[in-house]
Amino acid sequence: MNDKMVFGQYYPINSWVHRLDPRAKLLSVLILMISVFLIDSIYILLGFLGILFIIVISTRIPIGKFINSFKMMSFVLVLTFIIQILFRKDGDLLITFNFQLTYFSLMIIVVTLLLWLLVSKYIKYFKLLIFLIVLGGLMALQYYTNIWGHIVSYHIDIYSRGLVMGSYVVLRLLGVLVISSLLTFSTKPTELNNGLDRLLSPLKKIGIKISILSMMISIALRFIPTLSLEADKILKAQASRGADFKEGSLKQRIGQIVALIVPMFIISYKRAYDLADAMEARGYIPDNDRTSIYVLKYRFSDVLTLLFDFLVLGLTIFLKVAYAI
Amino acid sequence: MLKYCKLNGDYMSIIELENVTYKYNKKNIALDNVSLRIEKGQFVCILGHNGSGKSTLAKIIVGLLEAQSGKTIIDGTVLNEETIDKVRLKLGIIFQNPDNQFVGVTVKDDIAFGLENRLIECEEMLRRIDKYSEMVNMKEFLDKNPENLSGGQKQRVAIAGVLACEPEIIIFDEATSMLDPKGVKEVNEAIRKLKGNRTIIYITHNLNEALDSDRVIVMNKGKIVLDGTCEEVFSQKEILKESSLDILDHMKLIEMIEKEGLNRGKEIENILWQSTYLK
Amino acid sequence: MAINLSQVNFSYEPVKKRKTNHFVLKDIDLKIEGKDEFIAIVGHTGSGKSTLAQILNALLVCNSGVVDIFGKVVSRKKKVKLKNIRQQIGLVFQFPEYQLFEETILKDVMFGPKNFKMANREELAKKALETVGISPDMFEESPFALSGGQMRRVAIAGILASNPNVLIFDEPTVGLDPLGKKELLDLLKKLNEEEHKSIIIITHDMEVVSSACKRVIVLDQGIKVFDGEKDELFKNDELIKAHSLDYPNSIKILKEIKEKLNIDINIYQYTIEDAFLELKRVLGDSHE
Repeated sequence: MNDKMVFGQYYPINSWVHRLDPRAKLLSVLILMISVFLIDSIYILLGFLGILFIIVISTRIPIGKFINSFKMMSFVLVLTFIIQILFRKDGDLLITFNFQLTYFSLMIIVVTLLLWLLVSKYIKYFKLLIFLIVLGGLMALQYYTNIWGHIVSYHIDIYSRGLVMGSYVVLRLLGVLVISSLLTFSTKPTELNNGLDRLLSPLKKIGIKISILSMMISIALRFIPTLSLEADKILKAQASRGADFKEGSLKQRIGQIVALIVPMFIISYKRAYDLADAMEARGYIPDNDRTSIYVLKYRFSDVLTLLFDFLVLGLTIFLKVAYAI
Repeated sequence: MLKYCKLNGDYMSIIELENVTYKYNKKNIALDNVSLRIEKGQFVCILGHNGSGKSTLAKIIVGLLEAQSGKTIIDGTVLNEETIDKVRLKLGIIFQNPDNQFVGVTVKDDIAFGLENRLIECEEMLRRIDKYSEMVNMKEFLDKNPENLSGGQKQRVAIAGVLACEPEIIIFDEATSMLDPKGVKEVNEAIRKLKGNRTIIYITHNLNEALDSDRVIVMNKGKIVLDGTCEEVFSQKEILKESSLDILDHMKLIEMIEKEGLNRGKEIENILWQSTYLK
Repeated sequence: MAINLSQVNFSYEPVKKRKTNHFVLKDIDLKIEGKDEFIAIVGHTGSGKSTLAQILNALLVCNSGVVDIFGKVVSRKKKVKLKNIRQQIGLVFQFPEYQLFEETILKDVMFGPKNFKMANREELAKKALETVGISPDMFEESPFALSGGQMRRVAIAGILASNPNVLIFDEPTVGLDPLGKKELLDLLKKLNEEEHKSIIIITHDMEVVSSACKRVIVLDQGIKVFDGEKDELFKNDELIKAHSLDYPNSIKILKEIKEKLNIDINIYQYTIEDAFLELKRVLGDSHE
């Protein structure tokens, strides 16, 4: 059961992206994200996404994993798209939809929404897509029918800028999501931490001690699974004393949560205390220099990757300037 | 009362405590005027029940606690704030809880932790990790996370981590008390391999684990109450009982035979003594 | 019959038809009385013994099979009041001192009875504290000011206060010194003999098994390989060897004496006192 408790999204295969130096990956993410926000042509953006898609395929990380990680964000994507379309009123007027709300359509809308509330929890896949289709159906109903008691007429205008800006926002967010997922799927949290530590180590010269921060992150990564197992144990121990974390009034539930939080706090404190002793006894002194078992070396593939990134960035800047003129 | 070890004399003491007292607060005196010398290369077992002061003693020796009075001398250097960082390079300690001393995210990282602190170069680190992980039979687990290891495995990693720093003194502070029998066996096998090369202090409340040590020290209420070879210490049944230690089952039977008498009692006593010491 | 398991299987992974699951418990049949039992469940790490304890307390629900606890069937489909089951079967986890959280000892012990909506909570709590040997002048103190051994006893009182008929202890002696261990085992014996509770101890310590328990259940990789009197277990040398179990000290010692002196004694004695009496019975007093 413990095998599943690996923190983060890391997908353990050995692709060329996995093998890259974490510093090169972090820099790439930064450069590519800047590029995404600099591009202001739909076609180039689509081309950019195409290249990302090819990279994703070449790593052989299952596409399903990516789609899964988009699930959380899909609602935001759709919402921003709809808001852009509804509220941008510049550019050419493309089309106007006239809708009639009648008692008949109102009744059907209310019934459908109620039905959705009841049924939605049984839908496991493509929930958002199905909801959008249902919503489209309801809008179509108001567009085509005008029977049984007219209440109000309204219209939605779609302008070209709205459509373009909506697409921009969605495509850019999609780009950002793919880039960041690629990083987290291909890099262990510890590698990320090491890379970040090494990248930011020059900050030591201006008095910011990044090594202590990265040690803290590393210890947090080490203890998150341990503490979550511990929390599960305390939860069960209190449940066997009749605590019920799911039922009861708010006040009761707060009382029950105290029974979880106080022991967790004490355990964490004790662990921290023991750990500090163990670290001190093994010669750890917070401000001192340390060597690292992970010697990071840029290899040819890292250099190539970074060259490619800068090429992309240069190209987008060039196109932006050329377009502007 | 205090009986110094017979092995004293020609040997050089690597650890010396002089009149060390440590109080957690006014009521709670953990160490009460303790003096102790430990010779280089010995395997010393410190026995005592929970709260007898044995773990405090360990923490004083490695400099995690500072005694209110008295002196601690490690290999000729008096322990104080200036010398502690240097002296610590000679010391290694393995604690009771396997989880709370596992610093690294993987076995390899954890063994490397002490080496990184000692500014050892990467290649040397890899060489030592290789050597000592093999010594404790954990070589094939180098890339595993601690969540996927048993308690015994984690303790063996902790041993490898201490060994990799090549200290002169290693202290085991109840290192097996939270393990299952299999874990205890694995860890004790790893410890046995170290005998003879380094000074080892083995702290426990289990008399069975003291059996093959060169010297046994018994603590009670912050004081050393017995000090000698296994045979000498284990025959002091009354003091052991006073110290809330369970005497060995062998000893219990010998005591009963002596008290109540039994045909062929002497033969049985011989068998019992032998089975204890000729392990 | 208080507890009745038949053909119980359990896996921590969600069961899928195509995939073969790793089952932590396989086809477990088990009957336990609601009083006077003293059972040890032994097995190595990964044998499934802690999982079994959580099944008995309805903290985990089996994938298939029937779990009948005091007449209530626990299953994934039908919802039953798990609370009642947990009141009748107390589970004391490993290192129970970590579950303490209230300001005073008494309040902490009353947490269980309060959750189970029992009427005379304070009386129950006081009685439980008395049973585990905590004196009344300490009731209003903070549980965090206690020593480790006392904290463990208060935590056990926290389970006892709900007045369960069956008590399950998961590795109760781990981390205790010999004296603490003895005190705890004496407490369990008292609960068993005087209050007729059924006690189930999950342990890998054969001394605990030999000095306290009557019946032993051996688990190996999720399969129940033995269930019976402890005499029967220790006489079965093949079984002990096959599951790499250990003999208690008293048996080990008598075995050695029997071999070396070549005498005919019954080596299956579970305390040193009994071992001595057996030797005396066979060899006779030296005064004769």
